[in-house]
Amino acid sequence: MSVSTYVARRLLLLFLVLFGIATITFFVARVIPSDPAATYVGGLARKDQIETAREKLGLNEPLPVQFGIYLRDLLTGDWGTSLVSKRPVLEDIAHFLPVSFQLVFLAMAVASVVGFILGALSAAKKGSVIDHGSRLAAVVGVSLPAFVIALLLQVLFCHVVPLFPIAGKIQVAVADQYPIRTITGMDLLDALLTANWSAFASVLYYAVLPVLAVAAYPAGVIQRMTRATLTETLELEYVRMHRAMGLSRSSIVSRFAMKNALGPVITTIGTTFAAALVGAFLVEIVFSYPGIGSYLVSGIMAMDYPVIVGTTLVVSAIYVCVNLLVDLCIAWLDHRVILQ
Amino acid sequence: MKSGGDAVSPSRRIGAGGWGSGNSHDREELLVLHDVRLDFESLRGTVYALNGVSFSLRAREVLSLVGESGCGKSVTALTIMGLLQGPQVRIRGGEILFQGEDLLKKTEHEMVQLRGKSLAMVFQDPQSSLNPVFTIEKQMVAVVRAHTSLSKAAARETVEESLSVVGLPASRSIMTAYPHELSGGMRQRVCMGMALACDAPLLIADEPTTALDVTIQAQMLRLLRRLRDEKRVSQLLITHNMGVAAQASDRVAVMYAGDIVEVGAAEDVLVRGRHPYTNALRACLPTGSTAAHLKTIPGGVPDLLAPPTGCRFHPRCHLALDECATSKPPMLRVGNDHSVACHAVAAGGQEMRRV
Repeated sequence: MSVSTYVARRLLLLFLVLFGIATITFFVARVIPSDPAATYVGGLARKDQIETAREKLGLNEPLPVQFGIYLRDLLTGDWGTSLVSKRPVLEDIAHFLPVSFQLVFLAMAVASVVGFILGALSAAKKGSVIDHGSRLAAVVGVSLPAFVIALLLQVLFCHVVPLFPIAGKIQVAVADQYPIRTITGMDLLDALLTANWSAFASVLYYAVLPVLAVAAYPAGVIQRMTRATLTETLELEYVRMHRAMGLSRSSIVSRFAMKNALGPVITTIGTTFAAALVGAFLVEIVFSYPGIGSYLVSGIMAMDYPVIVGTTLVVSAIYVCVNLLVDLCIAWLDHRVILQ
Repeated sequence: MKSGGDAVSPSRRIGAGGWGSGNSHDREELLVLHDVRLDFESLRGTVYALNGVSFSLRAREVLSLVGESGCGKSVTALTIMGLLQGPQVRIRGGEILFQGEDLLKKTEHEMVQLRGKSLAMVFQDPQSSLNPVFTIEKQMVAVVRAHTSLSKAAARETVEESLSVVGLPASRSIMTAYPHELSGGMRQRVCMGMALACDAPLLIADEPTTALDVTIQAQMLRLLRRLRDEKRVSQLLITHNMGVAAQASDRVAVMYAGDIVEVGAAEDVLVRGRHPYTNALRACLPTGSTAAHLKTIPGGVPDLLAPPTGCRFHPRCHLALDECATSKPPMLRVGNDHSVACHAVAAGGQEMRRV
């Protein structure tokens, strides 16, 4: 099967997955005891105002009809209006998602590089001080929840040694003086594209602690996976063959065995991506980082179901796409893998 | 020549093949093992794996190391290559002289330079010996460039040449192939080509034909012989198959439980063997007649955690004398190029067996 057919089939599958998620979230949102109409009009509303809102939101229709309308709206790009912000959910997501995306991407890049290098060092120098240190760091990263790490980082680097800002995504003065023109919505990328270096530096500076907090867990998992696969690889027959041919241990690790170990590591990167995304939601709250996490959490607090459903759909779609990318990467790395 | 080694007795092999040039013991000694002792520390205790192994391999000679599984053949090979490392490996003594220098005294760095350049090795299973995610070219060029100062292009040419030496003529398409795209025989040829790419004078082949089917085995043995005759590659051939040993080697060393028990010209050892273990092994060869039961040597391979004292074969030996249980028999010269380590032979207690 050619790669394009494979990708087309996987994308088709993506729509089935999204339909399933849309169905589940819709019915769950209807079952939970809350009154969307009351949320919509606010706490001090009169009975007749709530009634009008209920009519307006289509909540008086039978459930299957509501579901039909909801699916039709989803497909036509009308993802409903946030009960709290009163703005279209899709617009809100388009505004908040790139911020989180940037955070998670940076975190995953840091985690992949750091995790892989630490894991490779650990495996190559098994039993050494480097190995023990790297494993200890990995255990800390894996076992502490992201928001705890976020709080610890705040205490350490904003209070004890005030190196980094405690909250926000850019220095207000910089944002005023050098406003970032929105192209992709990802501030760093936009600043880069418009050669807005002051803003770029400020955004990067503000992102350091949140990125570290999000990266800790995936870095730990990636370190452990790299160490385990590389250790296993180094015991294999073909590594003994490389050695019998006079290649040194370091060149075997760096030129051959690392690529052998990369497959499982990439799979791990894919699966921890989801964890990083969820971790980012809470880290955003801790650092008042205005991303989709803050948006979703405030939506959940307010029982703002269009927000919950919309965000869930988008996050699921991202997850499915990342998995597809992982599978393509692995097929590209190892020619024995057949896509089907 | 195309039938499997197993089904044919060594005597018929000799008639069919012969061993080439006779007077090999006048040549210089390329590799000499002298009283090599090696243990493994395991959780259950010390495994006495090599109990004073001595033999020598001359230039342009093929020496087969034969014996049952677990007798220490592969451990001997890996020790020569310096590939046995780790906290559990204890080399307790002896020397391995290669071109006059003791390999056991070399540092890992020195061994890295020797391996692939002067000492080459191929393994039993060509399926798992090649790295699955790199092309043949990438793997072989890395070897050539590790030992020479050749440019990438020149190294590629060297690789192509050595592939054609091992009988892979359309080497361009093979170089860009991944190991899984080749057949088992082709993969083993690639391994040999890789081992010989830098013109190593010594090739250690650990059961090179065992994982291959019978027709490919015969081809591979012809290739080994051609490498000896044309490229003057000395070979240490490790096999449990007496037929392969008879077909491929000039000399044979028989190993039992970490000891060399008999060594000499192939015909002397395989046809006129003196050691009771050699003869018992030969008696176990299938004769080809239909209903005959396969013979076995009574008893089992000894536990190397607690090996028998004296001659390690004595508990299974029908000729055992009292002293066999107490002292290790020394190597006794019984012919021009034929030595046996056996008290019974020394005492003249055993008639020379004829086929």
